[in-house]
Amino acid sequence: MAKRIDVEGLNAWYGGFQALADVNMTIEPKQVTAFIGPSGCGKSTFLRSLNRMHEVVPGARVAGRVLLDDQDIYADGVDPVAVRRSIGMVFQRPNPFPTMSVRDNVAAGLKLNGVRKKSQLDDVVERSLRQAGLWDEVSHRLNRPGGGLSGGQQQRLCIARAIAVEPEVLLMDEPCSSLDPISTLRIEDLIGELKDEYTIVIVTHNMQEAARVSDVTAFFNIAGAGEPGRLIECGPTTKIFTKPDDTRTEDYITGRFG
Amino acid sequence: MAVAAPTSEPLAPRQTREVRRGDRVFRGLTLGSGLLILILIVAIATFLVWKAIPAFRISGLHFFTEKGWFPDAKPAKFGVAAIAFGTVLSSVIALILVVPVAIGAALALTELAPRRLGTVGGYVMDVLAAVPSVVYGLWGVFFLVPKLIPPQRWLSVHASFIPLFQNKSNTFGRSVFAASVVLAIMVLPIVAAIAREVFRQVPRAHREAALALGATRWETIRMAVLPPSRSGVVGAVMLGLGRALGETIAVALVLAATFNINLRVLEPGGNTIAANIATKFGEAGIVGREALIASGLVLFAITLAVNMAARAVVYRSTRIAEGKV
Amino acid sequence: MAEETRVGFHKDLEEIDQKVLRLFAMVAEGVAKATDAFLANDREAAESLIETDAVIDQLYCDVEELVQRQFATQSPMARDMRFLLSVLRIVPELERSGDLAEHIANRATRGVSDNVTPRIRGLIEQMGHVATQMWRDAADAYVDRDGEAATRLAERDDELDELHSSLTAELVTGQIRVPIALEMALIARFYERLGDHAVNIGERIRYIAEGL
Repeated sequence: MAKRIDVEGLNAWYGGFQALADVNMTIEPKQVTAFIGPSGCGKSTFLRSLNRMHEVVPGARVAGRVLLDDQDIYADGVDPVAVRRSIGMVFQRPNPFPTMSVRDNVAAGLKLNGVRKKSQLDDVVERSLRQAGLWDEVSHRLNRPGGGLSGGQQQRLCIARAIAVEPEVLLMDEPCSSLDPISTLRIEDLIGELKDEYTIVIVTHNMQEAARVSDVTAFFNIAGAGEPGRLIECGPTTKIFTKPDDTRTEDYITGRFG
Repeated sequence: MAVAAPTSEPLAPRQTREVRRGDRVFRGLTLGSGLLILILIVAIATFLVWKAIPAFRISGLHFFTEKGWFPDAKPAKFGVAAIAFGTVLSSVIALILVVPVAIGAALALTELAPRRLGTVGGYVMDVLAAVPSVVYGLWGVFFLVPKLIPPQRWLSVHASFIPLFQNKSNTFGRSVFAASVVLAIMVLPIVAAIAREVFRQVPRAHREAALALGATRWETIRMAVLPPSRSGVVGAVMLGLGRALGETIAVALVLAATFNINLRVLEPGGNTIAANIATKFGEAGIVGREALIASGLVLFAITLAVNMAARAVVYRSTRIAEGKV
Repeated sequence: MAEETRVGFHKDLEEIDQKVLRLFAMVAEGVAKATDAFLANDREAAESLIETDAVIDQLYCDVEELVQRQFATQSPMARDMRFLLSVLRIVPELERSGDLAEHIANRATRGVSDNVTPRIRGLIEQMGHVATQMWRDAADAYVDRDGEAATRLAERDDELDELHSSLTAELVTGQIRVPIALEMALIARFYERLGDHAVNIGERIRYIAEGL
């Protein structure tokens, strides 16, 4: 678990439109790396290219190398399904499978990997729900559908589902943006606990959240409308939020644009 | 106390009065339309029952056991046993043929085809669903049925261990099997078109959730697309079934009408309630007409029963999935 | 072109900046006036300085409250945060320095300067001059956010310390009466403290410019 990611010369397109240009960075294991930047700067696109979800959109493509512990996930012959099995993702809006129970939701990834024994599944389900801080709230209703929980609970369910398969890396695309402040803080605490075991990358619109939660922050920006997004600066979070190297970073963080 | 008269009254009562009137008109119209439909259905059912009673009085319970159809003979001898059997059998076979193909086609268009092809394919399917069944019937009779003879022959030879496929008459062609195939083709577009709509409604988020877990395309369909579509697909199949059950001309043209109960579907002969009504109505006497209406009532009942059974199955399976049972 | 964002916040930052500038002006002026008042035994000048110090104290409270409000409501980050943190550490130095100038001027009402040797008068004049210079330099450094000023101020503070030593040496020669000598020692100490405060402010300004 917890591998390191090296990105070399990553470019991404949606059809003819280039969304991301020439990104180079390293994501260290057992740390939280946050991507911040204005809307349309390509941070979500970059996140999704780390687990080969970007190419799911018709017409989308990626060029460049993404090395997971020195293995390029975009190399010829690499199966995207295998990549996605070892990199987990949590989305902006909680999306538990509506017709599946809580237990089946958490076990979904395990079943895809061929785990069949009920006792094994139950153990992993309990462990994942405990890690996600959800066990106490759902242990009595494991057979009820996943859709009956509150927003914050659903998101923690999705996190449990993602970590049940013990991925190398956990990607989170604005996981708290549709949640209330208390649920947000609980999930941020959870991220703090999870980082001891996983490599975590989180995209967020909320700068305070990035400051609270991450060890390293990367700032993306676009030069103008129609331009591709670029990585402007990447560094330790405290540095980025007290004295970043690049003026553009500081302008964004202090809320001064234009 | 007000010091000076205000120039405009608060909340502009004239405006609200107009709005309220508009609301009332709208509510009246919609309520009226809904009631009209209900009244229509009740009226139809009542008419059928009313007109059918004389026939029931003549034949009694034999109506359900008698196979032949001689309502205008003296003594009158008629019953729905054979035609009801034929209706159910041909529709069941048609559904068995249609459902996998329709679901497969719908999935192909929503999940597998590139976007533009999928949209175009969808339009084509919608258009095909709108083509009147007579057209399919004619094509079926004059083109398909002859082409179906070799496959039927093959089945009777190689699948004869299943009694269904034995053919003791040694004639092939205008059989219940052929009629079922034509029905299937007729019903396929509408089931596929509706199933496609249902699959399209599944939110992208659920597909993405499955993909992100490392599901293959097929696993994604199985986990994220099919389960929430269950109820909608059943609805689509019910619609198709309704068309199949009520199909008259195509069946009448394909089948060489006989009134017997025969499970060997490759043998020629057979009949359905709807086809019977269509062919016999012109020359029917008074009792004949009443008998035909009575058979229509039976068809109505069959459709209702099947629909309710299907809904019950879906309901129960959803509750099982939700762990409430 | 994008419009300006966080207009209210930037207005508040401007207001804080202006208030701090006023404080600098008042302290720098105060040091010069205090020296003159002391040497000339100018009672009136001394009294006006005491009034000024009350204004300084009030401004200090205002600034503190404004800064607290920014932290509570605006989540300042990066340069804004460094600016506000520095302001919080600069204004106490300014307020204390205002007090010191007032203490010096106070001695004018007691006629101390009449009873000292010319050499001592000269040294006081010089210390006053250096201190005033340092404060003017500090004020300019604040306006320019000049991180280099801290070094210059440290050097001038060495000068001030030397003058302080010379003055103390003069006082122990026994040429003046003990009560007067004690007063003079205190005043010398006040000037020396003024210098130290200016140096501290230089360091805070360096933080605004460069971070830790």
